[in-house]
This record gives sequence, structure tokens and C-alpha cells, in this order.
Amino acid sequence: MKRHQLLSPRWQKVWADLSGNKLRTMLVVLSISVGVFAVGMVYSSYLMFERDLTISWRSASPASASVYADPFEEELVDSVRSLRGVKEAEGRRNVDLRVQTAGGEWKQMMLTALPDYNEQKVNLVRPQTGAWPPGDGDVLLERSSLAPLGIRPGERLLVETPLGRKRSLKVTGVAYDPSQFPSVFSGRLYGYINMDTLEKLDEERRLDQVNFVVQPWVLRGKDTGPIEALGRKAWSKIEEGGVDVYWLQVNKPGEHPMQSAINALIALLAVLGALSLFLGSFLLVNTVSAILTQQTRQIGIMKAIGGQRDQILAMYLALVGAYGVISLFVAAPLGALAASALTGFIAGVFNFDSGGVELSAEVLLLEAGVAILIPLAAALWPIWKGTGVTVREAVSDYGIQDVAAKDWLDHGVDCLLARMKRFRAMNRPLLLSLRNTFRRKGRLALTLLTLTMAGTVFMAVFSVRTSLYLTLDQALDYFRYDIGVTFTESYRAKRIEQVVLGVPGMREAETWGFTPGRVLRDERKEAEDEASKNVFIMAPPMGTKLVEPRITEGRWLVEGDESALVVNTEVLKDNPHLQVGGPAVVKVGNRRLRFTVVGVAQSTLGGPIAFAPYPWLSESIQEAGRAQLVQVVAASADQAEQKKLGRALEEHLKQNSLKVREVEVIWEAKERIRAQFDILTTFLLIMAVLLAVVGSLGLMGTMGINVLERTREIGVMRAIGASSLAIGKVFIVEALFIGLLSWLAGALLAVPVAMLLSYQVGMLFLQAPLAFSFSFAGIVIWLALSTALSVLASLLPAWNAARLSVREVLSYE
Amino acid sequence: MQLAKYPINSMRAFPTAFPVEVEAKAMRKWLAELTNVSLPASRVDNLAVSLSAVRKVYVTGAGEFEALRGIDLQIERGVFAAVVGKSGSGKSTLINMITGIDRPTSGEVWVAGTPVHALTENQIAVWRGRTVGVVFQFFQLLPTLTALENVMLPMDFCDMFAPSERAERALSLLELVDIKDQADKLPANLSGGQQQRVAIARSLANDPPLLVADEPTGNLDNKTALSIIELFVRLAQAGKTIIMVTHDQELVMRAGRKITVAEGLIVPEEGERR
Repeated sequence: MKRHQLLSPRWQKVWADLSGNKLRTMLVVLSISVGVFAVGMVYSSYLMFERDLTISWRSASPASASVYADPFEEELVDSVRSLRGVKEAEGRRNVDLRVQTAGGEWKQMMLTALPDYNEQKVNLVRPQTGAWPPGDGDVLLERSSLAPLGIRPGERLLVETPLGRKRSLKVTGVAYDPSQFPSVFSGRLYGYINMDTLEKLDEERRLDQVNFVVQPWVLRGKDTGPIEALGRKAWSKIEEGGVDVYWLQVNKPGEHPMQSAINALIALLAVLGALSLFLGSFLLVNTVSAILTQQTRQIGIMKAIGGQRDQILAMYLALVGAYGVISLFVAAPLGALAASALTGFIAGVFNFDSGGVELSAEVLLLEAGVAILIPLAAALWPIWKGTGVTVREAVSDYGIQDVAAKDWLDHGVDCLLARMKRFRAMNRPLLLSLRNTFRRKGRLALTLLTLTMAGTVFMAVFSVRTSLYLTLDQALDYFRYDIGVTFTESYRAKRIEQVVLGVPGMREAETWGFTPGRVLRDERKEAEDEASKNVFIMAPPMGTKLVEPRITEGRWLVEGDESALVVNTEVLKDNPHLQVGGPAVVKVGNRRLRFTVVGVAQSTLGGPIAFAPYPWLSESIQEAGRAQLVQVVAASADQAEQKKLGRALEEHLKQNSLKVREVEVIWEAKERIRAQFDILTTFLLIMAVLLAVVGSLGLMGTMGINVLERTREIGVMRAIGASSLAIGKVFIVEALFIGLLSWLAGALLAVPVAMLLSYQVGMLFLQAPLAFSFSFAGIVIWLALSTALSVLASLLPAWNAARLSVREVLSYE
Repeated sequence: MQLAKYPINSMRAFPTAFPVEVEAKAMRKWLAELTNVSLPASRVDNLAVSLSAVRKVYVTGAGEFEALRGIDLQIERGVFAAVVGKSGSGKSTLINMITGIDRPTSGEVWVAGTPVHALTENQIAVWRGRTVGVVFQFFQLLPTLTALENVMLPMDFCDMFAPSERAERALSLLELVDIKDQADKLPANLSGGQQQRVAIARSLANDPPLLVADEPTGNLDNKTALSIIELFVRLAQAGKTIIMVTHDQELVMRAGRKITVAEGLIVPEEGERR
């Protein structure tokens, strides 16, 4: 069957345009696909998060709040359960121990003991594979801890008890704890044991955490206030039992704890999607205008033989529509694939079950709209203009195109070029490249806009990255010691120092007071139940050189201070009523301490911390001469040495019957925090790279069009003796010039954009603006990248140009 | 050569109005102005072309340029006329007036009984598609369509003939110009003479009464040029009116009438002085 029997000639022409110029079709399809891909990926990821995150979180019967305390008897859980408004309460025990990974390293692991695995009601831990529940002396690993630990079910896990003894537990299975941050994100390992196993680990058979769920009638929407009030009652209840409580964690009802972080990531991705779509549309306008310019004569002929404007209009709109449909077929599966990879990655990081991506009708509809309607809308104007050409204009349009009358821009360029000529750096082909750049100003403007936007965002992202790191460095600059040790209870300071300095490799040790407490609104008795926020009070000796807090307001503690208190920015955020010079009431145990706030310190991302003078605080809580923290300076600055020292210190402390909660090597902690930041910067970089790809596609399209349009000119150059290399060079230099121009414009724009983006990223992820630092490395990298991309983008068009023979060119229509 | 079985030789009466269905179809379209192709009433006379006091002034950067300076010209039906003149004399402008490719600054242009000067751009497109077959010097075939498809395209645009008949009609037109065997080739694979034959077949697609050719042989060798002219002569004998611009004196001799243009005016022929 011949093709004209299937399609009438004019649709045949559309088909031929589509299939005949593969390079052009590819370019147009790519520029549409970029936007469709980005929009599809973001939207289907968003839908998937909406669905799975909530399902996964709800299926865990998440606690409304959790209270953490020193070990207590199980009866206290009943007293919390009996509180009015509490629906269900359940206790558990968490012990932080050292375990040996498959690689032989000692790492911190949190082993959780549940009183009854088969009757769980809150924060459900579910069996994944292997045995259930964990037997005596057995441990189940949280699924996200398998990889970092490297130990498989059936093998044995070596644990060091608080008394420094080594015990081996059998790994009998894998569990899934949806309410736990996974190891990738938190940098910790998790395991599940039964109550009997606790004793084997030299731990008492007691609980230290109560999770409770409130009655539905208590809730007021997503407000955490009512839960918090109930949490404080639970706190008081446990304290009445003579147990120190140190933390109340309140969850937003029905929301995953990381919901806001995930939302922020999605928001970033949405910006990326919108930008790609926007830039893709620019490319499209350029390409469609070029197709029409190139086909001006054909349009004229069609008109001459009776084609009406609406018929021709329909042909070109159909052409663009067809590009859209092809793009949809290219981009929709790719978008789904990317969304699936993205959600898989995020589900892994946040430890929830991803139900996989379904290609929903909503997503397809949106993608189809973006793929077909936006290109049609973008192409409407160029097509309308292109089809308006009269037969006379069209048919007389042959030979080398006239250059439009010169305007101020051309005069400016000429002026500049004339000046540069004096330096003899200019030869004729170079001059031609530079002048050519400004020949199609509309096209140049769109190309520059695309490349500049891509470059601006690229450079801004680098600045956001350095700003993130600067913020982090400023926060972590606080630490002037190498190892921090927290004990589970206080010991005589002299004893701690003695034991610590008994370990070889120590240079200095300093004991600190430490106590958890609650900041009260005021001194009234009722204030305890109304509003109180957790705080950890650290009490360094006066004149300590081991920390260097960044004071944002007021001053640091000085010799002679009595009831002075320095709060960090997180405390201030939780308790906006505090101000420098004003009072602060903190409940510690059953005492109420009255402080005067003297300063505000930058948070070290370690939670709400306040600093009080050691002599005064230890007197006030009747712990004079005792300490719960010791900060250690190592003799060696070497990281491996410090790590070894940390291990030795821990073992030594345990051997001396000091109960250690945690030994933290500071550089490891810094690394861990950096790794969390890296998840964010990786996202930002992916965004930047995608935009760079869109930008260079734009340049490639423009250069391709320029070659097509100047085919006849190329022929003339050839006829007067230009080599292939010379012709190719004319185009490559032009592309380079465009790349440089966009780099210049982008670098200027990057400063304000980076500031804005840093501020937004800070507010989204850290609830505070970042310390801004502009990345000059970003500018240099983009210069290199845009230069490379320009050359790369013009290679194919330049090669096409150089390949043309004189005969082909002069018979070229 | 055998003439096609299609009525290209039976000169249709100049349409007094366009078929009703064309008008009805057009009205359905979305943009009224864009698609308004109903034509003003035409007059019936024996003239294929009638120009009176036609002036054309171009405004250029260098000032005004008067390409046509008051042309009066009548061409009867069934005449093969050759328009000659030096480069820049205004002969291309003159035939652009006749084909409706360009509009007069003042004066009237009646072609096949229709006042072309009074039509909108879009009306002209439809009218031209049915009434005037245009042949260009550079052939101007659409490069992505085969010879056959190029010939079918005008029928498609003007919705002439039943879709199922179009291919057959196009083939018989190609047969008429002697290149039926090249029907499925793309223009790039045809010689200049072959391309011009396809272009002529295309100009005949909608069976127009008038054929206008702007230097149709300018890019062809002598022998091919002559055979093209032969074709025009035969078409004129069959009743078509043919207006051809040419430089070639030998070809002019073959035409039934010679119209000389100089400096924007018609130069009266010997014995034709009025």
C-alpha cells in the first residue's frame, strides 16, 4: 500500500517533516521531554509519598508521645495508662551498647527490649524474616541496620556490656520498626531483644521509655498542644515514682516525624520541575521558530497552490502536537523510572515501605497536558507568524539572508570588535563568529536566558552547599575537645578524672555537671503542666577552654556568675518568652531553679542545651563535687588515634565500674552530621546537573538551527576556499561566545539567587537561615562546564556544517 | 501523447460563484475572517485576464519605487501569451498581480471574471488554488513529498475531487507531462526538466483555466525547455490560458502573443497600436 493512500499529501508532508529530519525531531523531543520528565517524576514521587509514608507510619500505631527516663519499674507504665485522655501506654527499655561490626569495628548500637512482642500496641515492631519473637540471648536486627553492621541472621553479634564484659548474642532474624529513623539517616544501629536478655547484658530488668497514644477526643487537628500537656502529666507521674525524667518527645498526630523534611525535598524538586519545564518551553519556541523560518519558502509554495492559512496552521500545530506525543512516550516511562528510583532512595533513607510507583491516571494526564498543550501554546505564536508570510515574501526569499538593519546592540558590538581589532587578536573568521552571534536576537535572547538560568541555579546551588557547610562548621567549631563521655549517673569528679587520666594518650580531662530539666513559663505551680519544654543543662567549670560557643546575643558565662544561664538557639526557639537579662525557671527533678539568662549561643545541632556555672548548679541540685560528663582532649590529633583512644577509654571506664551512656569521638559525630547534610546537597547537585543538561540542549538546538539556516552561506564560504575545520570553528567559537556571555550574566545573578535559596533551604530544613557563603568554586566550575558544554553542544552542528559540499549547499532548498 | 481522460481540455465556464458546499464548509471553521472564502460576484466575459490602470509602488529604504505605472492589459481565453522585458522592467510584478501573489497599489485586476484586487489574502489563496496554476523558475516542489504527492497537494488543500480519485488523477497528469514512471520519486532524485514537468502537472491539478509561469525554462537546457514549451502550446490548444515570462526569444516565437514590458508599462506591439 502506498503511503499517499493512507494519508493525504499535506499530512504526508507533516509526517515527512517529522521522520525526515531525525536530528531536529530529536532536539525538539528532548526539549519537551525534559519538562515532561521532571514534572512527571516530581508529581508521581509526591503522590507516592502522600500514599505510602502515611500508610507506613499509621500501620505502626505510632505513639502520640514518648517519655524517656532513668530505669523504672513496669508499674509506672500503668500509672501513665490510667491518666485521663491516654488510650494506650506501653513501656520499653533501650540500652546503648558497643557492638562489633563484621569489619571488626566497635560501634554504638541501641538494643531495645519489649516486655511482650506478641501484645504490642504502640510503635509496633514487626517481624520481617527469621525468628519471632527474639528468644533468650537472641537479637533481631532492624532491617536498615543490616548493611551497616554487615552481620547476617544466623551469625553471632559480639556486645560489650556496661561493665566492660563481652557477650555474644545470636542474630535470629530481622525486624522492621517503622517508627525508628533508619541507620542510614541516624548513623546508629538498632536491635531487638527480650527482657531476659537484659540481665545477660549487665542491665537491670527495668524500663526507661513510655510510649503512649492519646484518646481521639483529646486531639485538636494537628495541634501538638493537647498531647504535650498530657505528656507533661505523664512526666510528673513518673517523677513522682522517684525517677529522673529527661526527655519528652511529642509527635504531630498522624504525621511522620520527617514529613516536613520530605515536604521540603519535594518542594525543591517541584522548583526543579517548573524550571525545566520553563526552560524546555524556551527551547521549543526557538526550535519551532527556526523550523518555520527554514520552511518559509515551502509555506509560500503551499499558499501559491491554494493552501489556506488555517490549513497550514493546522499542519504545523499537528507537527508540534506529534512532537509532544513522541515526547510523552519517551518521558513518561523515564519519569516513572526516576520517580521509582527516587522514592526507593527516600524510602530507604527514611525507612518506610514504598509500595512502588504506579503510573496513575492523574500523572499521565498531567504529563500529557505538559507534553502536548504547553508545546502547542509555546509554538502558537511562532506558527501564527510563520504562516502569515505572503507568497511574494516567501518566494523571493532566497540566497543569503539579509542582515536586519543595525540597532544599538549591533553598533555596540561593532564598536567593541573594532577596539579588539587593534590588539590584532581578531581574524576574519573570528569576527564572523562574533557578529553571527548577534544576528538572530530573539533566538540569542532565548538561548542566553536558558543557559543563564541554568548557570545561575547551578552556581547558586554550590553556594547553598558551602553555606550549609559553613553553618555546620560554625556550629561544630564549638567543640574544642576530642572525646565526650556521658555517664548514666553522676560520680565524684575526682574519681572520673583519675580514671580517665589513667588511660595513656590523654592530654586533658574536664568534668562537667549535667542534668535534664524543663523550662517553665513562670514560677506558678500550674506552669508545670501548662507549658514546659525539655532542656539539657550542662555545667562547665568556669573559664573552660574546651568549648567555644558562638554567642549571638549577650555574653558567655564568667567567673563569679551565680544563677546565670546561657541558652542555645534551640532553647530560645522552644521558649520564645526567654530573653537576655530576663528570668528563666527550670524544673530539675523536684526542684525549681531560678536563673537569669545572660546570653544566647548558636545551637550545635545537638538539641536544646543551656549552660550554667558548675559551682552554683552543683550546689543547687546537691551534687557538689560530682559530675556526669567528662570532656577529653587527646594527645594526638590523628583521627585513627582518637578513635582508638575512645575505645580504650570506654573499656577502661567500664573496668572501673563507671556506667557509661556514651563515648563520642567528636570527629565521628561531625562526620555523621555532615553525612546527613550531604543527602540534601546531593539533591541540590542533581538539580543543578539536570539544569545544566537542559541549558546545553538549548545551546545545541540553537547552533543546529544556525547551521541549517546558514547552509547557503556555508556553501559560499566553501566555494571561496574555507576548509571544513574553518567552517566548524566559526560555529564552535560562536557557541563558546554564547556560553561565556551566559556565564557572565549567570555569575552576576547567582549572588542574589544564592542568598535567597540559602535562606529558603535554611528555613525549610533547619528552621533558621544559613550562614551565607558565596561559592567561587561554583563560578569556576560552571565556567569550565559551560565552556565544555558549549563546545560539545556545537560539535554536532559544526560537523554537519563542515560536511556539506558546495553542490549540496547551492541546490539547497 | 494522449490527453488524459480528465476534462483538462474542456474549458469550464468561469465559475459565477463558488460551490455552495465550499462556503458552508468554510463557515464551520473557527476563525471567520481567516476562513472567509466566499468570493464577490464575478462577471462573465470572454477575457481570461483584464487589468486596468494598475499601478504598483514599493516603499523601500531608498524611497518609493514605481514598479508598474498604469497597466492596461487584456488577454483572451485560450491564448498562450509570452511576457518579455528586461530585468527590473516590472514583468514579474505584472504576473504577481495576475496570480494574486501581490496586490496593486491602485487599479483593477480581473482574472477569470473575478476582481482579484478586492479579495482578502485568504480568499485569494482559495481562488488561486482553483483558478490559477503557478509554475516557478526554480520548480519549487516540496522536497519531502514524492512527485505524485506534490501533484495531489493542491487537490488536498482546495478539497477538489473525491479523495479516492486524487491519486489516479495525479497519475494521469504526470502521464500528460510524460513522467508517470517517476511518480514515486522525491524531487531531489529528479532532473531539473523532470522537476519542472512535475511542477506543471501540479499547476494543472485542480484543472485551473489559467496557467502562469515565471521563467519556467530559465533553469533548463535548450532541448528540455523546448519540450516544456511544446507542452504549453498543447495545453493552450486544449483551452487553457497560459501566461509565461521568459527571456528566450526563440520560445517567444512559439507563443501566440507577445507582451513586452518596459519601465513599468506595456510596450505596444507592431500592428497592435491602439
